[in-house]
Amino acid sequence: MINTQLIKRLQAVVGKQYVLNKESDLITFEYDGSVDRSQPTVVVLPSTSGEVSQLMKLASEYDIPIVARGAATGLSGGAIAEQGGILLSLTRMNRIVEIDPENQFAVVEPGVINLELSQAVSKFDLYYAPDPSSQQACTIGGNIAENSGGPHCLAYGVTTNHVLGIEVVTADGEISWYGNRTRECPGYDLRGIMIGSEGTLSIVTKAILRLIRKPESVKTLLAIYKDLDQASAAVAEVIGSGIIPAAMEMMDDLAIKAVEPAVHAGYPENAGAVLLVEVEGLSESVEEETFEIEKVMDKYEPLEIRIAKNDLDRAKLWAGRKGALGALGRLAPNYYLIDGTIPPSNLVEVMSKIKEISAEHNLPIANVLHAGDGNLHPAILFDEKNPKETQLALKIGGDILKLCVDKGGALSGEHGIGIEKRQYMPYMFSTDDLKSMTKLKTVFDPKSLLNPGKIFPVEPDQLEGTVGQSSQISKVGNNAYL
Amino acid sequence: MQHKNTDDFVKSLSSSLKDHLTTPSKNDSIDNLTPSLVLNPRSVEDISECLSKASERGLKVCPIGGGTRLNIGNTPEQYDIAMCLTNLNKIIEYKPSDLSITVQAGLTLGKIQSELGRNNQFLPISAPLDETSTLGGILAVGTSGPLTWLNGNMRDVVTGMKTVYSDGLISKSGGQVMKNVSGYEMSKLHIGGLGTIGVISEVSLKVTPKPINETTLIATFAGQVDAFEASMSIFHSKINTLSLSYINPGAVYKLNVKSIKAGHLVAIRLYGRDMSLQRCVNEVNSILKQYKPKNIDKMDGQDQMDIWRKIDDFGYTSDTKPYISMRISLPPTIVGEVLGSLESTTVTKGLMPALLTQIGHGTILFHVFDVSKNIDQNKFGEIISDTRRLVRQRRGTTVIEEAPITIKKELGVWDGIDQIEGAFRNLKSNFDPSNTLNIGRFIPSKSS
Amino acid sequence: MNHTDATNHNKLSVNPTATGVLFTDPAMNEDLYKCVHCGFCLQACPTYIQTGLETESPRGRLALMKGVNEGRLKINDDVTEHWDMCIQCRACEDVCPSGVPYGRLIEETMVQVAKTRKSSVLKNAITWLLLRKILPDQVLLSGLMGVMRIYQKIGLHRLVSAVKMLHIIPGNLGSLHALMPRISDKFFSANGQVYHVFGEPRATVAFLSGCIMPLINEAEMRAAIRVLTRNQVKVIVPEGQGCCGAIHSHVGDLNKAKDLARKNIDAFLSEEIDAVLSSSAGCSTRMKEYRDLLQDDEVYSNKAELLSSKVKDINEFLYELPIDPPKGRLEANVTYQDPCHLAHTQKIKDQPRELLKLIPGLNLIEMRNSDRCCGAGGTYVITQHQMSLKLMEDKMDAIQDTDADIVTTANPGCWLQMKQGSRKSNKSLKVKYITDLLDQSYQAENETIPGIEKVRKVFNQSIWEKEKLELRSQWKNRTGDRRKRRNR
Repeated sequence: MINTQLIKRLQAVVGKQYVLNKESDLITFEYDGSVDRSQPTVVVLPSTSGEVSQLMKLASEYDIPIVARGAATGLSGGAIAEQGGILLSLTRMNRIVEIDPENQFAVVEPGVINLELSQAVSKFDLYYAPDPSSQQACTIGGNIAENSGGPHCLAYGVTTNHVLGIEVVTADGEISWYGNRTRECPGYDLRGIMIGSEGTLSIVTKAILRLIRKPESVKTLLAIYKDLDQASAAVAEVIGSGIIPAAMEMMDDLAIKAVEPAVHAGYPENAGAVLLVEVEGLSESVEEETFEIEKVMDKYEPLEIRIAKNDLDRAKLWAGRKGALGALGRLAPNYYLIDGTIPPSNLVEVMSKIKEISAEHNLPIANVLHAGDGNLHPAILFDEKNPKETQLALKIGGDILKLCVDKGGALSGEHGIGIEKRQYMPYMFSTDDLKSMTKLKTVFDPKSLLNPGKIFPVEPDQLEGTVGQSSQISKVGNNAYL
Repeated sequence: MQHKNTDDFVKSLSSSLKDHLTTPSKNDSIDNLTPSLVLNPRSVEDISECLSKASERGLKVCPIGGGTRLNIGNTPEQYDIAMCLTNLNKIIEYKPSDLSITVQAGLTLGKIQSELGRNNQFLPISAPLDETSTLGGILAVGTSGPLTWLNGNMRDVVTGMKTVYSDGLISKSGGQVMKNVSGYEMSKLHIGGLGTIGVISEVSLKVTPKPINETTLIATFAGQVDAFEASMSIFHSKINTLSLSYINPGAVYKLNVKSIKAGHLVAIRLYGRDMSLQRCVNEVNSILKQYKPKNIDKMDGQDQMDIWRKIDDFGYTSDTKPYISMRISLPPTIVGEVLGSLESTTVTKGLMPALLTQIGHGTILFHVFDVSKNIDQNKFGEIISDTRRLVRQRRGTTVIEEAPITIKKELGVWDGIDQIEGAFRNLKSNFDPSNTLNIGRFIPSKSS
Repeated sequence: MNHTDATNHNKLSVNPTATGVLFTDPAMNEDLYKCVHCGFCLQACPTYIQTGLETESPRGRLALMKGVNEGRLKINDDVTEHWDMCIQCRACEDVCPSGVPYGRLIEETMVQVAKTRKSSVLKNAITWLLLRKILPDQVLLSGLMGVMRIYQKIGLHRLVSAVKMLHIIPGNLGSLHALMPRISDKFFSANGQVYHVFGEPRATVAFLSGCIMPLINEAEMRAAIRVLTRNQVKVIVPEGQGCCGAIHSHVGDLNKAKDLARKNIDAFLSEEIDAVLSSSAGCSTRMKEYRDLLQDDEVYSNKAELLSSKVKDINEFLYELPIDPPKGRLEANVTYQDPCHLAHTQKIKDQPRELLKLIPGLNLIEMRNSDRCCGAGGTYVITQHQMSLKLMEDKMDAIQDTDADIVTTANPGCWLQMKQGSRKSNKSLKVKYITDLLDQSYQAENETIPGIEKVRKVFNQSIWEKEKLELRSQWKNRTGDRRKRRNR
């Protein structure tokens, strides 16, 4: 069991009530949004950077792992204390420290909820652009760790494009600022290195985030096509025509079949693909771009085009898309959600390959995707009660990820590698590629105490006793994460 | 000793490198230091061979692109081999509908832009002398020019990178897709890294569709305060600009464009389709008018390209070469007060300041011209120290981009990296343990 | 310390379809494992927002259920304290993409907890007395409250507070004293009275009287009935009805809850009605769920289904009717607090607001997080007094920020809680039911359009007279009954 002396020292840092190590407490900190689980040895809830620094020093002194955790909505097992140790829950560090509307930035602590920041700056006509689908619950700290995206990052970029500076506690317990209040900072971009490093290089304790002026006007278009190829071709042509919509989302026939009875979006029975495009900006440019996009959509013989005129209509058009994954429960008890990315020009080819894979193994795969930036979310439908199907789903998942990499894409667009996809890293990166990355890890965390075991492939014998392949199953229901 | 090593090094080279050795010229020198050898690798493997063999022999290498901004950074502590990358100039992959291009690092920005332009796309970045500047060099320097997309940075356009480390390790990270969270973003070490960690050999970039129309408005104001406030009002409006610059009278004088009258200038590059561009022009015009400009000129087509070219190149052409130049980064609203005091302190010292400011970005390019040619050298040092103090107080950073070597040595080029010096040193010693690449450009190596 | 200690916990074998320790019902089991711990519920949960602790979140509580269900945890105080902290506001159900029926799961969990709980004899006795004897018996309850009324009237309660007699009353009961609502001067009672309308009624409804509400909200209930009759709705208040049983199932006494449900089903289905209405969101929720509660009851399952299908919250009913827009002006800033049992369990959010918007002169200002629980939650104010206070303070802050003169709601729990809150921090704030304001506006019409309204007024009065007569005769019967019983 954990050293009682360490517990006392942890309590001395944060106060007794913020050190949790009862069995009943630990059981609620063993998971995140993925299916992996592992109990930390102790949960600590600091409230300041100084406390985090002291905790880090203790972890280093006792040589035990330390894993940062925000709202634990992640989908790759990033916030799971796989090797036990200290789980650093940052939910108490949830203050918005400063809002500077003139310079369009905000200084926040890592536990601030993504959507709450946007709500807090809304009165200045500003918002925080990255909008992961879990934005109502996920924290900025977690967003930074996973370099989160969202439907609207097609136009505005992902988290890393919106973080000016971060205060971090490094593995030796020092507090440093990487980047600052200015747009540029000389030297190595340590800020950029930390973003998306999944908590393996340092612990972010404050962040300076860029805020963006709210668009004057927003318009949403929805086109329904008979088949996926037409929709994919329309996507390619819209982008080719010089328009970058704010968002460009797609669903295939199976997803439509699931969502229609749940949301009653009124999609026709023979719909093979739904394409949703959102345009933002000056009202004039929104008008012009809507016109152009409609022209392109029209070329590929849509069954129907719908254009939302007001917020209510917009919400209706989005309802189908947002409810899609949640509704998959109507088709099968479980699904395994993949997060691969491909160059958009390979969309038609990859989608048809996925259909082939699905037919070959006789497991249905529903597709919902951020079509504009090629971020696929195939959901393999299966029944967990059938062990063979489970195995097969996992295998197919791997096959699809490899397919994405083969077609010039990546293993993860926005969920991160974490525990879930680390075994596939060698497929995307050579030994030499990984060598330079692990070197970076040793620079910042020589004792490998920060979120150990994540991102990089683990030798099979190291996996003994920890979560296995079954960790990769995502169960029915979370319509988020897109 | 050094000669022996160099000879040994040359002997060890494979023919692909040995056959393309060139003699050092003035173009390869950094702060008047000239290398003993110039290598011209033609492939990534060449770079790897060159680096591993040089590091084994204790030879020091500086990678060079177009050689336009070599003097940025501290003077190298030792400079044996110039590794010129301009032969790595191929486009590896470009599919317009993917909004992605992958190129070798020695390709010039100008070439990339013209290739993209054929498909009505572009990279929303700019750099001085883009017909000579290579992408690798531009990224190694890492600073943004006036052209940005939604006030982004140089680093926002890079999605993947292949680099070679001093032990010869060739390694890539990221990829050709816009969204990617697979492993560490190693490119962030190299953008702005001045080639001190590794050599950039291949880059994947996110490209942007070219705006349908573009127009530039140039407003001339009698006073700096009006000009600055007008530009901030535009920044705070709903109008997105491709470039939004304030240019002071000194810089206007040096720019030497006939159609532009003397005064405080605000240059705005607007874009859009017909109706939206018209709206932008109208709205910007009406904002400008609130601050009573002397006049507003509208430029289209080649005229506007020419003027922006001149602004990009400022400080790097023969007739705009300053005596010293600094790059200052600040939160955007603070730029105004700093501008005023830079202007006045320089003028009182009998020197001419040229100030080019990227408004939404909060960047000031501060060039000092010695008009009379017989100024006391100490005054330059004073200007630098005063500026640093001023900027530091306002939580900004100052980098000396151009200065006489004596001043660079005395004051150091960088300011505000002392707090993270430990991390810098750590990175350098782990990724370049033999201390081969561009030594001492950020922080002095331990040996010295 | 070595790392392998912790990793030993990793070997988990979960078979989601098997019968568990906590839930023996396979369907319940399946529902529990619908939770994929995505975390969407966190920011909807008032106790998580207050504490930032996973253990005080819906996801954490479900994890504890799973822990017990899989035999990894035993039901003990360490576990139950977190379930007890749940207000059961069910805001989490609203945002759950997986459709986890959290309310049903926590309710069933509390049933299991109740079986194992060892409390003091005194506490058990009080709970038994309160839930089993007093609440279900309206006559007894009225009698008791009558005594309390006298206690309040003569100012004794102030005296008790002043001399700090409360110190001798154990723990929570002391705070109960502080929470004691002002008791109505008259009580409302269900005696089978009928409120007739002039001409053909647009609908005939049965009205739930409830247990606490008729004692503290007599005037408000009459206002609600006036709004109904003003809109040509005939209202019957069936005799033999009683407490809806919500509080019983809340604390895990399902058997009593079922008894009460059966009693109400009998009472309400004996009348020919179009709908069953309640002014209390908590009660209408419970009655809409009788079908689930009694689904295994051979005799009552069909009847429960029928009754549940007829139940409507009064605001939902008035909106759908739709009501005649009231014409009397009420110049005021008003804000609306969503009762959890209206917004989250019945998904009724727009209807109350639309009703308020009908009132001329009324300015509806939304407060932030209007659907976050005010901390009332049935017995929660007593059992989790500290948390309840914190939530109430947050709510009062949110109301204060809107500068509203009136806060409206649609549930007696919320009404009471906000009354308490306003007494503490915002004395000028009025707390009203939506039907109060509608009634006020209709009343004000009479002043503005005398010609037509005179008729209506006279008519209304005639109904009143009729009601009074009915009441009197029923009351006589009733007291007669009571005497008989006593004699026995």
